[in-house]
This record gives sequence, C-alpha cells and structure tokens, in this order.
Amino acid sequence: MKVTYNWLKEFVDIKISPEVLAEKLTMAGLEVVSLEKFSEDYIFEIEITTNRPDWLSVIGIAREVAAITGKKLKLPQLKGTRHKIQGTRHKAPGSRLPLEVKIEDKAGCPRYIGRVFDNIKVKPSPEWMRNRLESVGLRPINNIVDITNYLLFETGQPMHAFDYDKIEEGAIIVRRAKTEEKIITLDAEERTLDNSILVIADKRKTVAVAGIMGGKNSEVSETTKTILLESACFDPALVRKGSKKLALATDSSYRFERGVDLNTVLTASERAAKLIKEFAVSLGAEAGGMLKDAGTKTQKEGKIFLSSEKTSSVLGKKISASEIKKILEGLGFGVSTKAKGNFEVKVPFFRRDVERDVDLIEEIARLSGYENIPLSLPALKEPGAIVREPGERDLKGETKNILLSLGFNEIITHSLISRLFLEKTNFSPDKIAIRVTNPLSAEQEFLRPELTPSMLNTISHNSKRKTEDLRIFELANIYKNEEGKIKEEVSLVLCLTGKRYFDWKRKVEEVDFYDLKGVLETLLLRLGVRDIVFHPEESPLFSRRYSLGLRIKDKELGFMGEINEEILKNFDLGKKIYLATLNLNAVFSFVRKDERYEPVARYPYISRDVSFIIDASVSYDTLLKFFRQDPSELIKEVNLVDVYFGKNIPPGKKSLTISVKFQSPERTLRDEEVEAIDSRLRQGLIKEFAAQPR
Amino acid sequence: MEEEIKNLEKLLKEDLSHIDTLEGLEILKASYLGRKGKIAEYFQKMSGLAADKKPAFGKLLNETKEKINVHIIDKENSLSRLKESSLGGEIDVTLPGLYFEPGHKHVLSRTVDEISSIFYHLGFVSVEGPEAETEYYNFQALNIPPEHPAHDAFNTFYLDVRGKEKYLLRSQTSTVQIRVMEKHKPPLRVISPGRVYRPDATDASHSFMFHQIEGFAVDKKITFSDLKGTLFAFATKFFGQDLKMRFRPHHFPFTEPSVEVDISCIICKGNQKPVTSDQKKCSVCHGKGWLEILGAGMIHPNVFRTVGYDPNKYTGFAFGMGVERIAMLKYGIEDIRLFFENDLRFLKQF
Repeated sequence: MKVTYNWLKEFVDIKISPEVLAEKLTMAGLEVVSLEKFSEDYIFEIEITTNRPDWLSVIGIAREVAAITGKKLKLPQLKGTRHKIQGTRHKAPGSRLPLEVKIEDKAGCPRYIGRVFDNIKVKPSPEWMRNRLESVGLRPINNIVDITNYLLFETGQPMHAFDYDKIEEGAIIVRRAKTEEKIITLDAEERTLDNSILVIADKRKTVAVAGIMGGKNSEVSETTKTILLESACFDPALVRKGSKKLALATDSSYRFERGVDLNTVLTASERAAKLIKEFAVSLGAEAGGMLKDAGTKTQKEGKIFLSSEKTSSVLGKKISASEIKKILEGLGFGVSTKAKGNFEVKVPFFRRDVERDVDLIEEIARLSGYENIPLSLPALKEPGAIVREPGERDLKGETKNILLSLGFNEIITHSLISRLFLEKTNFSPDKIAIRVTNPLSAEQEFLRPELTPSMLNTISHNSKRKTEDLRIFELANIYKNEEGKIKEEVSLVLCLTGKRYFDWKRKVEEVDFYDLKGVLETLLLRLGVRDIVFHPEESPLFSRRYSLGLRIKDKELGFMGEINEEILKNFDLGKKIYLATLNLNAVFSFVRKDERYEPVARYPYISRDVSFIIDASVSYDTLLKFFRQDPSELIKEVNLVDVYFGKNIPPGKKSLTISVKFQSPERTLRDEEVEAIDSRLRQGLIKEFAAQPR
Repeated sequence: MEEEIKNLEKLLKEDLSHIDTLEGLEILKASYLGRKGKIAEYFQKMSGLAADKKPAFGKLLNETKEKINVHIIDKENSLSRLKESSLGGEIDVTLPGLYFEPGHKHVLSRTVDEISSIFYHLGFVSVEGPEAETEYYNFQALNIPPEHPAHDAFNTFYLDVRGKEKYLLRSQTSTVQIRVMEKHKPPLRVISPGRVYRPDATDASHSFMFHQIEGFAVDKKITFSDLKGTLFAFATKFFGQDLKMRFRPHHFPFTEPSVEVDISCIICKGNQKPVTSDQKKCSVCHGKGWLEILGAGMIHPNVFRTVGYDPNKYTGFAFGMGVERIAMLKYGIEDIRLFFENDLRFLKQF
C-alpha cells in the first residue's frame, strides 16, 4: 500500500517529519518498506498485514497516525451530498432515468449502492488528482475512472463506474455467472466464467466480474453522458476464489478479499458524488443523484469484555486502566467501564479483525509500544511434560558425529526430485513414489523414496568440478505411498570414491569395497547395534560381485555395494563408487539399551597365529563360524591377519593367517591348555577344509 | 716418505668431505688410525730407517696422527650433531603432517545445532515431526481458515495420495506445535527443527525447500515479556552481545499478539543515515539498519482450543525462524542455492 505524507495530512495534523513518522508506523505494525521523496511530497510504501483491510486506505492509516500521535482524525465533509435513504425503493428527487438494483446472491453481495449521474463530461481529471494517483503508482485515465481510483485509495472502497446507457433498462442484477458464460473484461481479455463466480449483469448481459474487474461492454468512454456508479460489498471468499480461478488480481479484488466495511459502501459513494459534481459534470449542468441502496445497511457491533488484569498478565507489564481506555478510544473503540479495571469494548465496523480480548490486548501492546515491554525468562515452576522418552538418545546426531569422525562430509539435497533421476537409478517411481500435484517443474515432481539419486547427482556435480575424492553422506527422510498412507522414514546414504589417503607418505591407492564395509561396521558398532548379518544380495544398483544386504534377524537394514557400470554411465561418472543405504528407523530399533559394565580382564592373554592354505572358494564367514563353534570358552577373539593369493600359492587356493586370542577371567592360562585348543583348531581345519598348514 | 706423511692430512680432508654418516666415518677412521691403517703402516716402515732419522720421523708421524685424530673427532662431532638434529639426513620436521581430515557437518546442520544448544540451556527439548502432513495440521489447527488471504503466505505443495485426508508438504514447522500439544500436557518448552516446502520460484534468496526452527513454551502465566526475554537471550548469544533488537507488531493467524523480530544489521551495525538520503545503501540491510530474523507471538486461543487446552488457564508463546536466513546472515552467504548444491569446496569451509 502506497500513501503520501501530504495526503495523510488532509485527515490528521502531522507535526513530525516523514522519517520519524515512518519509524513510528513501522513500530506500530505498519512496516514502512520504503520512503521516497516525490516532488513536494513523500511516498510511504507500507506492508499491510492480511488482518487489517482498514489500513488499505489513506483514512485508515491516518486514523492510526492520529492514534499514535495523539491527534484527532478529520473525516471528509460529506454535507450536501448526503441523501436521506429510506429503503431500497427510494429514488432521489428529480430522477428521470430508470434505476433498479436486484441482489440474487445475498450472501455474495451484502450491500450494493447504485447511483446514476447525468450530464457527465468525460475529460482529464484535475492536475492535483493526477499527480496523487501517479505518486501511488496509478496511471490517470479520465476524471470518472480517476475519481473511483482516488477514492479506492482514500477510503479503501473499490467502486466501478458503468456507462449508464449501455446498461439495459438501468437494471443491475447481482448473480452467479452461468456455466461457460463469457465476458471481455476491461483489460480486453475474454474470460470464461462459471457458477462459482459472482457477476454484475443487466437484463441481457454480464457487465462486470463482481469486485474484480468491469466489462468492456459497459466501459466509460469519452462519449459517455451518464454513468452508473457502483459501490458495493462482496463476500471475501467468493472474490478470492473468482480471482484465483480467473488468475486476475486487481486493487479492487485485493481489498474485497480482505473485507470491505458495509458503512464505507455508503460514505465512499457520497464522497464520489461530491467529486463527480465538482469535476465531472458538464458546465452549467447539475448532476442528478438517483440512488438505489440494496441489501443490508447495518452491521451488528461487536462487544468484548476486557480486564486490565488479563492485559497485564498476558503482556508481563502493568498497564493502567486509564491507559487502556485512552489507547482503545484513540483507535476508534467505544470503551465503557463496568467495574474498576473491567471494560466493555464496542468494536467499530471497520475492525472486523477484533473478535476477542487478546485482539484488544495486541492493540494496547502495539500502541503502548512493544519496546516498552520488559525482558524476562519464563519461570520453571514445575517439571515439564516428558516430551522425550527417558534416556532417549539423539541417535541421528550420534550417527552424524560418527560419520564425521570417519571423514565423511554431510550433504543436504532437495527432497523433491524428477522422474528422470529415479529412472537413472533403475527405480520405477509409479508404485511407491509420491507425486506432487502442483510442482513448479518436472525437476520437483516426486517426493523421493530413496536418497541414492540425489547422492549420485551430487557426486556427478562435484566430479565435473574436479573434486573426485569424496566421502559424503546424507541423513534425511524418505517417503513412500503405502496404500493411501504416507510412510516417512529416516534414511542414510553414504558414499566413498577416489583416493584412500591424501598425504605424501602413504601409498596412493583408491578406496574399495572393504573401506565402505569397514565404515558400516564401525558405525553400527559405535551405535551399539550387534549381530548384523552381511549377506550377498543382488541389486539393480550394484555390480554383481560387490553387492551385500544387511540384516538383523529377519529385518532388512540396508544395502551396500559397488555402483554398476550402467548407473555410472547414467550419471556421467567414470570412477568406481561404493555406496550404502540404511533404513535408520530399523537400525535404531536394534540399538542396545541394556548396556552394562563388564569387568576388565585381570589375567594376561595368549595369542596364536594360525596360517594355512585353503580352497579359494571357502569364505571367511565359513571359517569364522568354524572357529566360533569350538566349545572352549577361552577363545576370546578371532581376527583375520592376512589373506594372500599369488606367488607360491597354487591357483584356486589362498593363504590365510588368523590370529586367535585366548584369555580366562579367572586365572593365568598355561601354555599346555592353549596348545591343546590350538592344535584342535588346526586339526579341524585340515579335516573340514583340507587346509594345508604353513 | 716425509712428503707422503705431510700429504696424509690433505688426503684425509678430501676423504672426509665425502663422508656423511657416522658409519662411513668409522670405516675411514680405521683406514687411517686402525691397527692396519695408514699411520700404523708408516710406523712399521719406521723400523727400516736409520737410527738418527727415527726421532724426527716419529715426531712427524705422531703429530700427523694427532692432527688426523682431531679432524676425525671434529667430523664425528658434526655428524652426531646432524644425527640428533631435526633437519639432518632423512629427518625434516618441516615436512607436512599426515593428512587426516574429519568430515564437515553441513553448515545448515551446524547452524541448527548452534541455535538448538542455546535453547537447550533455556530448558527446551527438541522434537521432530513429519514433513508430509495433512491440511488439518498445516492450516486449520493453526487457525488459518481456508479461502483466507493469510493462505497466500503459506503457498503449499499438495501430494497425490488418495487417502482419507488431503496431504501436503508442510509449509512451516508450526505443525509440530499441534502434534506435541495433542499428546502432552503443559508445561512445555519445545523446539522443532526441520525441512519445510513452499512452491516459490528458485533464486538467490528463495528456495522451494528450506529449514525452519519452531519453538514454543506453554504454561500458566507465560507472558509476552517472557517471549521477548527468551528471544533476546537467543539473539545475543548467537549473534553477539552488542546486538540491538527490535520487536515490531505483525500478524500471524496462530499468534495474538504477533511480532516480527529484527536485529541491528550485522554489517553496517545500523549506522545508516535515514532512508531518504542518497548515500550508498548497505548491501545486507539495504539501508534499513535492521534485519528481520524471525516471527513470533503469544499462541492464539483458537490454537489452544483445537488441542483441548483451556485458554483461560494457559498462555504460551511460539516463534519460528528460517535456518538458511540465519546462516546467510551469520556467514555472509549471498545465495541460498549454495546450501543445496553441495559443492565440497563450499561445504568444507564450515
């Protein structure tokens, strides 16, 4: 909303500079976003919140200025233009021309004042009016249109002037549009209407889209001799729907959507009559003043009970009864004291936003100054509600910290992705991915059911910028449609590619599958998740050889592997990429909650290395099971020391060294007892796997 | 032979110049002074000399031996000094250390952590809520009626899910307020960080996805002054003690009274001439001297009624801030798109 300093001065005495006024308005909730000098005047651009349609007018803002500065609001003098109105059938004296207003949709149009002016001379409006319109960003057109625009700014009431001679029999009908009904609006666009849109019509045709824009067929032109001036009130929701449907927003629809005061419908029309008589009537002639006022003329005044005690207790500052009265009266509220500090407050018509005592308390806080309310902290009077479970850990935070300590960088990518992205990762979106019904572009069509596409895209983005050694992860929600219900779960994707080390001393090597597996093992161990099974599992993402699933019992926790050639190509990537995804909801459900202290071993351990050559097809997992099957409780740990193929090892065979650690919690072990278990293990390896000891 | 002996010292010096280890020196020393060394050889040869020549020859040989010894000791000293020195031989302590770099937390996560930790100290706990929400939680429960212009501020993505309710992506984290209050009774002090979505065209300051932190406190006798104090405590801890704050009346459907909170510009410190002057405007606050950082207010009685709280018994405050905006102000980041591009050269700066 734009308003000028001098325009405001017509309605209130302002003794402060534009800069000081701007500051005061801002601190009262009318945020001045810019203040500019414009010839002899200053233009304030003010952001008006949706709850204050009354501020969408110079008079409304002047009322606020008056309240802030303790001055009186001077409303325009309407004497001489006011007609005595007695019901809808009233006709002003001297009328010759027919005028009829019929409201078919009473909910859609609570009040409609039609007024006919004869002897009109359409010409440019006076210079001062043209300047003022220009200063608030409007283009002057002719005296009639300019007067309605001028008053839209001054009073907040949108009005529309029709060429009376183009209205069939002077009859105005306010009704819903018919299906497929068409109208060419003032902007020369043909618009197709429907039953949800309110229109103004005469007996034959539609002449305006109510509250939004007039029709070309009844436009005021240079030859117009008689006008029909509409001042009305339309239902906010109806105007809003119509404006959205037609994708047509105007200064008029903007105000109707927010609500126009029933009383202003009349006062603005009176103001218009005065200005028309002054600036738009052909020389020597008198403008007629036929008037038809249809619909509701009075509004019920709201009454609210307010106590100074509640005011002080909400604000945390004592505010006296007399200050409350002074502030509210200054804003146009009627205040009557019922008992000491208790008021009955009458709400003026233009303040339909005020419905309950807190709304009044806000007014009091605003005018006494938010800056004058002291600072305090809420007291902790009793223990708060248990919003988190006792002992609940921030497992997402812990997961991030473990990965950060392992050298992984966190990324954050968009949750909305394209169909193409999903297809590039061999994922068909149609079954479980959720589509957005109003995406801005195809790039954001789907709510992602997987983090992988965004991860691969990030790698591609970085590798194009020559950052090819990457350890990155994202922890975010994924979303799936499960039979009409949205399943939102916490997911983790992590990725490794490029060099393992980045220094001058260690050998330049590329990371491999086992780096990633180690990261997952470390992460799960540190979180306190035990008994995870890594099992070979094919996946459309991974190469056939390097692909594992992770599970505990029957619950799938995730996947890991080497991204296959096809997908690498889809993302324009060359280097090998190792990627894992985890369903963190599932992982976190296995985090041990019964952690207890275990005494530290007091007796020394003995360790023995077992080296042997074995068929290459025997998996380490199988060997590990063999070692763990041994009945001895003295076997504390089994660790792989070395795997070797090649020189001195026959083809199809591999050499392994496994270290076994023996320890007793009760005593120092004797060499003989360790020897016995050790040789049992060695014998077993020979018997079960035809291992050759080395 | 005397000439040869006199030349020995020169020969040694030449040999020494090629020695750079103590082991090498030991071998060299043996070849001059050892039992089978050069000096020992000359002493043997001395027995074949005439008796009168022996004393002079012996003297020369002893003197030479002594000189050689001194040279060798000198060399030995200098070599051992080198060995213990940090710049000797294979040791060069100025070589760079081995590279070990822990990962970098995303600057948005880091900002959320920093903000949250301040509120934890003020007794708040963190709770998260779903991003895919129903219309009820995003609008009606928050006192935003359908077909109201207030909707415009919360442009929303709708989801194609055929279920009982209309699903959408939450356009603010205030939804969590309702979810927490539905489940728990006051007193409450909760913050809730998370992703929110609004179909705005992307540019340097708009993103269709961004992060917010919602916070609210409900109890008997929570006041507007408590809201001001809590936000002041947060802003001064986060941005610095010399900060100025401004509480401007505003409107949000879910709070009454409502407020927008500005801080003095962190670049120009608010030391700007009035906005009408022609001086070059600060690029961060555009000459206003103030930066808006959050919206807040006292929780609307209608919101309390929705969750079954008695608005005559309880009061509460709520606030919400954009994490990207706060991070952009704090680190001087001028384009919101950088957060989601995930260029490692950007991410590693934090």
